[in-house]
Amino acid sequence: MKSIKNKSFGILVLIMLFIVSGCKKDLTDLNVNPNEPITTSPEYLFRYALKQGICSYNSNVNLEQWGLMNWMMYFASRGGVEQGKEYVVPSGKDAFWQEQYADALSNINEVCLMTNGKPEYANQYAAASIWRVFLFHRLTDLWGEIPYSEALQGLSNLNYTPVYDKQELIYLNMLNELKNDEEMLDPSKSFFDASADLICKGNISRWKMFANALRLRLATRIKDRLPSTYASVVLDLSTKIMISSNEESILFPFNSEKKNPVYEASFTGQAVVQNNPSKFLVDMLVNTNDPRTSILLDKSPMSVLPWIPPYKGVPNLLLTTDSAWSNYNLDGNWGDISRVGKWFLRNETPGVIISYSEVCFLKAEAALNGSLQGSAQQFFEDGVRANIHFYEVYGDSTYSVSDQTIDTYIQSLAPVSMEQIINQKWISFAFSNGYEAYAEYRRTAFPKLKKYDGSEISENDLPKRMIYPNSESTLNREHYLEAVSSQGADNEFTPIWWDMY
Amino acid sequence: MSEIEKMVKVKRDMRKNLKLFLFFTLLINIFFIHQSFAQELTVSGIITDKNDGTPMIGVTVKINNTTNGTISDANGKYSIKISNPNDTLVFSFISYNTLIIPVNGQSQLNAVMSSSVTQLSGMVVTALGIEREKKSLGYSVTEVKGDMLQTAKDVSMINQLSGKVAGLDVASANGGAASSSKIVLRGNKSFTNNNQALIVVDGVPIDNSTVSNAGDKWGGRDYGSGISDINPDDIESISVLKGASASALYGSRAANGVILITTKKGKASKKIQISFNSNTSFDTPYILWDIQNTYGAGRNGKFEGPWIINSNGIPVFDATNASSYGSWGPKMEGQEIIDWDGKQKSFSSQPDNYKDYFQTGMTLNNSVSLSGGKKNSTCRLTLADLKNTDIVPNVSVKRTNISLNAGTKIHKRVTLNVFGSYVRQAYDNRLGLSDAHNNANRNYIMMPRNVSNESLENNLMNTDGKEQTWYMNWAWMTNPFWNEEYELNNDTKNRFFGNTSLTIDLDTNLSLIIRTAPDHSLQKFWSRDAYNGLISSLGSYSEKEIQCDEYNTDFLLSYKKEWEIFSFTANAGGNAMYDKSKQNTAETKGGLNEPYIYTIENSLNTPKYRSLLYEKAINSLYFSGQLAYHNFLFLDVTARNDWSSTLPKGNNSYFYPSFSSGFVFSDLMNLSKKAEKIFSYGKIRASWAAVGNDTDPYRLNKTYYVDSTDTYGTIANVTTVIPPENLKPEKLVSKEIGTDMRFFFDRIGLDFSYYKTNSFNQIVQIDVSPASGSNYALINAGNIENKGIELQLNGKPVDENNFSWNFILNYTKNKSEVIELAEGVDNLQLMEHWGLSIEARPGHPYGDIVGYAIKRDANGNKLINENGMYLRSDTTQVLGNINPKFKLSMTNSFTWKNFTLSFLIDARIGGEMFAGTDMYGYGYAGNFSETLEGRDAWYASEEAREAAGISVDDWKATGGYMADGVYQTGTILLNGENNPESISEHPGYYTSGGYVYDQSHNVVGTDLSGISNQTFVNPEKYWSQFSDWTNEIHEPFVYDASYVKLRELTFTYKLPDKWFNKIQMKNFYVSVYGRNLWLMYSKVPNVDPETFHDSSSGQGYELYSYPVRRSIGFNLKFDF
Repeated sequence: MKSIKNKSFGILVLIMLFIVSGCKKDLTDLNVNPNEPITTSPEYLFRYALKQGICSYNSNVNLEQWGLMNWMMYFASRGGVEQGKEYVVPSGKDAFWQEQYADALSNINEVCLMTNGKPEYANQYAAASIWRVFLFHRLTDLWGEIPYSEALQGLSNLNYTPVYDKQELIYLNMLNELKNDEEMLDPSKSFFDASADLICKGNISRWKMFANALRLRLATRIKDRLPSTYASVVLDLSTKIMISSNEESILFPFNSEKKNPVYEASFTGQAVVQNNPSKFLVDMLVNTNDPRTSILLDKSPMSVLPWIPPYKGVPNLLLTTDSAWSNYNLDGNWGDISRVGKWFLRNETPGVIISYSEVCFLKAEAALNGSLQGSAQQFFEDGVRANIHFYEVYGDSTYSVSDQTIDTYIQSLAPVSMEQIINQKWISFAFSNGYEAYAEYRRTAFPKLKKYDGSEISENDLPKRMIYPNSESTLNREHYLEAVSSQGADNEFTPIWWDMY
Repeated sequence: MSEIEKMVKVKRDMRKNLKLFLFFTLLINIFFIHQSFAQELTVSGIITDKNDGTPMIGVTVKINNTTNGTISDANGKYSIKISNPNDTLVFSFISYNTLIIPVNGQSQLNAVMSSSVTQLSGMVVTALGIEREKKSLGYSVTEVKGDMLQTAKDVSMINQLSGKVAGLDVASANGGAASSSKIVLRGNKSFTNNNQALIVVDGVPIDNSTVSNAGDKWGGRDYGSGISDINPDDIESISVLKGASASALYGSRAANGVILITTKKGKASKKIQISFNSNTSFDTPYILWDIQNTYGAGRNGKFEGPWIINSNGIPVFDATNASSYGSWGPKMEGQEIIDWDGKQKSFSSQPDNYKDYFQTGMTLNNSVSLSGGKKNSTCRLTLADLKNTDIVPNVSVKRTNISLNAGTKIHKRVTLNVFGSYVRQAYDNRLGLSDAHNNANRNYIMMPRNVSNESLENNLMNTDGKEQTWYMNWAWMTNPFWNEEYELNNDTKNRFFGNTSLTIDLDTNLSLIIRTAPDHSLQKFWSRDAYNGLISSLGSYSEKEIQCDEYNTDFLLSYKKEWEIFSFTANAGGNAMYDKSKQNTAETKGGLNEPYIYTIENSLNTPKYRSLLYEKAINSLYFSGQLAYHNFLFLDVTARNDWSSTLPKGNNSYFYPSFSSGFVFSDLMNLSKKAEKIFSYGKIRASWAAVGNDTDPYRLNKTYYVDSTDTYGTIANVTTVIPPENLKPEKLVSKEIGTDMRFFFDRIGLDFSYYKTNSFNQIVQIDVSPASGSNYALINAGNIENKGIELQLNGKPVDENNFSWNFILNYTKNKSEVIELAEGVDNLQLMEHWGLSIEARPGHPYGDIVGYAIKRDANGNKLINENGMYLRSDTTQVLGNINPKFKLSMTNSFTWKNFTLSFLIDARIGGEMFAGTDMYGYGYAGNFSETLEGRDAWYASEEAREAAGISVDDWKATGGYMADGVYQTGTILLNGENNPESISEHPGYYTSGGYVYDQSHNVVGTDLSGISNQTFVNPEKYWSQFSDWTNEIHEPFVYDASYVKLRELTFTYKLPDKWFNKIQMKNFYVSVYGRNLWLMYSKVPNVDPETFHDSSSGQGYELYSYPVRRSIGFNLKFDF
């Protein structure tokens, strides 16, 4: 009897020892994720962050196409508007914040962290840092004060609630980073290869041009706030390499799988949805005999009939209850309305990050106020010319416009002025850069957008900024409240720091 | 009158009438005198099974209140010496009702044992498969006999438990036959874990996970859960262990309770016994929409919107440019139209097109089992086959189960038991749910009432083979008949699970069980989007394979010792669990290269392959000890330590104990015999337990997701979840008290429990500010409390020779409260879709329904703007909560001679749900009857306005829909105006004392602020204001989800055995049954109040659900 008990006790102890010692060692090893590595190549992250900065649905389609491009009167909603407000802020703005911070920025920041302080990775760091500035500037231009200095530290620091920074600080910081990044770029050192560098194809001097152009854009934005900073940046840039042709423009290569967002927004399968070119844009192009009219717009299907005009836009800010509504055949059948030009509706139509023509216009503005040597009129004309040629360079000969036509058009324009520069810039951004058009409109109040009846739009017709996402007022409440008390009420009519008009 | 005669009389009266019985019990027992005869006597007899009359081997026979006993032999015979002829014998056997028979001086006493339906007494299976006397437990266990599951069958066995156990919530998702069910005991205890009970078969956990995105909010498919692989004919009994004490020994995975399934074993008998069970049932759609059949496609009551009037003045439906859904057009009065299919026809309603889309489903379920054995070896083999065709065409499932249960004594001290079950299932075309493009309900909700099934069916495709439907402006509206024909999917499952155990009697008091249990399954899926379909013109094809392997190896050492007044039981054991799951997926990219060839190789671009592996292990040691004093006071202690692979070093070992005690106070009260007849048994119990819990694998480190198939080249992105710094195990603490009382010779039983459970340190994925660079962080946080009452009342009020009545009444009340979320977190979204979310909020019960409401004034009146439309609340609000106030269910069973009628009525009172079907059926589409109100009047008013040539602004509508509410502040009516306006449009005007004044202080109008709405609106505008995309108002579609249902009804006739004597057939039962027969009470229009979105966190949310399947079936059972 006793021996049996001893035996069984022995068995018990043995089994326990087996389980405890035998398996415990393996336990932690078992929790190493075989599906996802704990390190990766910065190249993969870089490619991803470039793509996500541009390609996410909400930033491209929901916010930019359905929001900003409507506000900037490139598009108008065929469905009319509620209560006279064009600016129903698309739900995509919260998603944009989330996608930019937690996806594009988070991953480009990983590249920066991996390469920072490593001389052999200086070029990789500099390019990633330039892209980080690009992404941040779009955010701060939309919201004003945003988390910047403490942002993106969740993974590294467990900081879930970053403070908001004043826009002035953010801008000065970004300008500084761009300067350092540009100086750090060294063509003799290693860099990402062409396949990883989706936008500059591994060409370091083009990254330098990108940094310089972006720096000029940012400095110009704060020109009226900090004139001396502006002047010194322009002076510093005058000796640096700049984008000097359409071919050197910084673009994003869309393809058949990641289609150009205008295509995505305007077409699903074969059917046109939601938006058509606005009356404001159509009228401006037609009235000035703009050679880009037939490129930016496609004739309405019914214009085969002689009495139907080839181009007709949808009025912005038109109420469905307004009597003018009946002038527009928008309830279901819109055969006499123009479509977006076919150039935009190709899969591979590139996304514009910074174009040569924008650089020309920025230079024209600098020359106009004397910060830059040279002829403002010449820079301005270069910009117009460059933009008109752009569609041929990134399309084919069907989009070519003769020099004579361009000359005639340019001659018909009033001499260079702020309004002329920004008007042309606005046309050059049509259907391709809603963010920049919206920022420049707020900075300069040009072009003078008008309602469908020709009246000026009033103060509260267009938002001056985005309302912070709900996630900020709940998850980062303390800092959110600080930002609100510093910047002003969290509504769409509080102007941000650089917006002085 | 002798004592015996008195007793006989009592019993006779008792059969007559319960009331009389009560009376006489009281009266006669006044004269009852307790006597004892000091004399030794041997009692012997045969114990047989009531069910089939066979002798029962191994029945324990004990003299009541002593430890003296014996066991029946191979012929069912027993013999026992008693010292007192007035002693009572207790016959007990696992899963059978314990019989208590007074000897009354007889020397021959035969006992007929029956398996219990009323669960009044006997042994129950508890944690680790240990059989224990229910009396001795310090916690609540509810047992359901296998018999209760073997007649009115459902394709998923677990759904049959619904309403049968207090505290158990079985909710089946809306995905058709064999879709997943959510099995929750005593409320949701965890924010993000699945909250489901652990399923244990013969002492070993089995995999009950739900594969892939079951009913993803964007419209996935539901692939069912593992428990449906169990054949109900294999089930001897199910024990439901609700509290943490009951399940503490199963550790982490049992934190949400345990469903313990004991399989049927072979029985020793002279010849092989063969049982047949054959089931045929027919399913029809139940709870269909209340659809209007008056108005057809169009807008504003006219041939507008999708219509174009051709040169002959005939309206033509333009499917490619259709810009609106539904039926807001003119009355369907046979007008001449050209339909979307290009055919000229009359504009008329299709009243049955939705109903006719469905067919009668059919389920055939046959099983045969062979059972037999000798004294030392038993064996049972079951073969079952199931075929189901759904009410949705082209959807079917086939399932075959083979199971073997064998036991043999390989040595006088060593018994070997083997159970193995093999399941093979093939499913064709799982249904697309929710927003899936191939969800037929979604199509029919939007479809104008004049579109005929015939037109859809005959025009699936154009001459180029491209899909066509009535609406082709937007690819997400598809043709339901195309879908069932071409948008196909299939999945198959091969699964083997079972266990082998060796029981070694080391000593009379000491035994060791060593057990190993594998659970392997291999599931294969393919799915395709048809080439030329609207959703994907180039088509797509994908394949997936999931292989799961789980091994549980354990040992258990049991020691028993009895003394005069004490008995002691101890169990000590260990378990090693290893779980591995491997997934391989392959999918085409960019569409198909060659049309109509659905293979991975035919991908247009490089196909995408992905392989995933998950591994997890938990090692455990545990101990349980029980001390019994005089067999009426019991004290239990359990302790368990787990080592989990998923937690960080230092925190991956965690210990948790439990204590419970049962006290049979009626034994101590020394009740007189007379009192015993009224109050026969009373017990109180109390327990305290803690359970730890781990998490999923691979959550501790920052990782990168690498995708080498991206069109731009290999990309990688960092995880969007911030990993925890020092993750601790979750902890659940549960307290329970309860009583178990029986009255009138055990004919009425009352089981009551009160429990309280707190889950601390939950491993929660919280939302964080995206500005941190991540969307989520994994942390330990929170506290959810669940407390509640469970009451089970059962009894047999009538038990005559020819007639008996049994009932079980279950009452469950669970109160849940999220006491705390993570610091600084106000809410946690469990699910979100189209602006409506299901959330956990501190201070509220788990599962708030949160969405936009109609804005109200301080008095709670709904606010209306000057256009007669509602104002939307500024922010989202809590609109309801998914938790019911209580649930009540009652099973009644009446037996008259050979007939038995039983039915189950199930009720849920309180709690809300959001019905998306209604939001869109009313709002987008105007297809439900409720949207008819005001249409005629509005169209008449508009006609009059147009005739008078008056503009909308100057016209006061004479009819239409008038929303219930009051005008918002600032609504005015100027003199001479017909319609209210907003004062903000009239700068310089002001209101005071109910009037409007101009700058010269002249009265120019009336202030309508706060006055009841008097503006008629177009019903089309009224209803669509709620479903307006990104401006949704959800409130009107959050309904009280209370219901009363006749869930199950069975009528059985047992054919007399003598009819079949010659062919040796017996126990021939014929039954007719119905399931989901009658929704007796509901406040939710158009949909089943019980339907829910998915089996993860989608409870309380409904969207485009399929109708309930109402089944009527026949069951045949007989034995040879």
